[in-house]
Amino acid sequence: MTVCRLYLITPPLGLADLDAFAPRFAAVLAAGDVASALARVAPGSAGDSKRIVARLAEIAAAADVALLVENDARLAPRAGADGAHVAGAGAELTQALASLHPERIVGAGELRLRDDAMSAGEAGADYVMFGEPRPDGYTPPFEDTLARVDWWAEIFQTPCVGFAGTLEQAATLASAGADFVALGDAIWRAPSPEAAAAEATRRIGAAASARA
Amino acid sequence: MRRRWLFPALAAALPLAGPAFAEDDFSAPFTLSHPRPVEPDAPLPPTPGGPAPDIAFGAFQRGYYLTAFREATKRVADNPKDAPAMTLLGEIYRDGLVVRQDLVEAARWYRLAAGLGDKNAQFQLGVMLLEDGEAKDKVVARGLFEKAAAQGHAGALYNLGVLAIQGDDSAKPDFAKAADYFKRAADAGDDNGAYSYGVLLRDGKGVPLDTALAAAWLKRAADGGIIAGQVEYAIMLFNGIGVERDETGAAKIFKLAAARKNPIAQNRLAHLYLIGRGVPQDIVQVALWHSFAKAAGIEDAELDAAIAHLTPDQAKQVRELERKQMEF
Repeated sequence: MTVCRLYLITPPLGLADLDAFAPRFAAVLAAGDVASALARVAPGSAGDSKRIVARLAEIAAAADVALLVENDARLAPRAGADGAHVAGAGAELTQALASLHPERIVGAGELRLRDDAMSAGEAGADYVMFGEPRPDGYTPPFEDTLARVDWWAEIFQTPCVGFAGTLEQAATLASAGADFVALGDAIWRAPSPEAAAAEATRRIGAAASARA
Repeated sequence: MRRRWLFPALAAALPLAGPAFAEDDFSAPFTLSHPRPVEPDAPLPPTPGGPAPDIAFGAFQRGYYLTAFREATKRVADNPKDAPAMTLLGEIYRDGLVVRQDLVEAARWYRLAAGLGDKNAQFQLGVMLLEDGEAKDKVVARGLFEKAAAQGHAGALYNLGVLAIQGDDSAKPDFAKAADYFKRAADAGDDNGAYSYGVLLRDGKGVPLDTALAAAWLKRAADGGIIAGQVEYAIMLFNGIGVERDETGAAKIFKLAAARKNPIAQNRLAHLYLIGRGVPQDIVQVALWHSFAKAAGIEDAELDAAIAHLTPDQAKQVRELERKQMEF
């Protein structure tokens, strides 16, 4: 049985955005089959990251969704988050695994080489992520993301997350065997984020079961 | 709690938690365990009313080597018989973490801790002695491994198996003894031990030949990420030896080991693409995997001939896939 679920990536948030974002976040979590969400903190708001993450973690916990923090393993336990998403397969990942496993989740993203992805998997990362926008804003072409997910899902057991820019891409990744599909702007910039989350859930569910 | 809920498949995929001192060395089936960070004698998170948390080891594990060094030094000063703290100091000196690397100092701490019965120190000191390569050191190293093995140290058991196969002036290679050590290492969680025991069972060396049992142990090694084990298990799976034949399953494991740069797996995968068994026939994939295996030193005239007449478009695809395999 093939299952594919949603992995949400929040927009970069500052403290000032929080009051507007929190209810929308809760509504989206309620509308779709969301497994986890990655909380991103806006550049310049690092000092508020604990407050931002803690607020989202509370909402996520109520919805039984795992909330992850970005590139800051030490923040996760302090802010009540369920884990961390770290860049690369190097020292950051090793340290995050050492300090958070096995109680919390550790995922690896920004993997530039196949070797990096395989090393992350062997090191014990809970998932590898392909195709997400990089910190400089560059998003790898979707066909590359699809090829990576396709390659990974066939031979490796570590779950993989593919980033989709549209709901159509989300369905394509689910067909290719992604365990999770990551969505960011495709949800938050939709006319109705809740409707988009529900629609994404429907599409990836159909695509994944067609595969099985 | 939500962790379990997020990744329902994880429970099956995770139990690779055993000691993993695997070197991806396809050429030498029996290589010595490499040193690795020590393990705490007690689990880290303290239970209420239980022993105090091991701050030094915890800091070490998280990469805070200075804290670890300070804590361990303090502990040894407070208690001259604190063997785990001494082992930690040995570790820090050996790897040159926050202090200048000093193998003499490392050996001194290991020796102190080993004398107090610390199995991790006994193991690490044994490995250091073997790396020196002197014959008399090997005898001492074996003695240390035996002490650690008596306390169930998986790496020490595995190394004793390797030493039994190597033999020396006083003893001929003893495969029966090696098999026993490897099995015990495997039972203690060492996947290299599972691999080596599986190979001995498959070849009937030191143990009665038993292909079904061999396949089971090699599968365990393969699942534990031992690449050589993946190759051997995939070969058995493909040929239906000791396990029900599964060509597609075998091809999948070859793909995994080939991606991990094992030349034998790359060569076998090229052949599978050539004959179209376990994978669809695909001459571009033949050329791709043959080129990697060949670059690693595996000559294969049959594959050379098979890809001698690629079209320019196919050759271009091969180059593109080569690039992707390296970069992404």
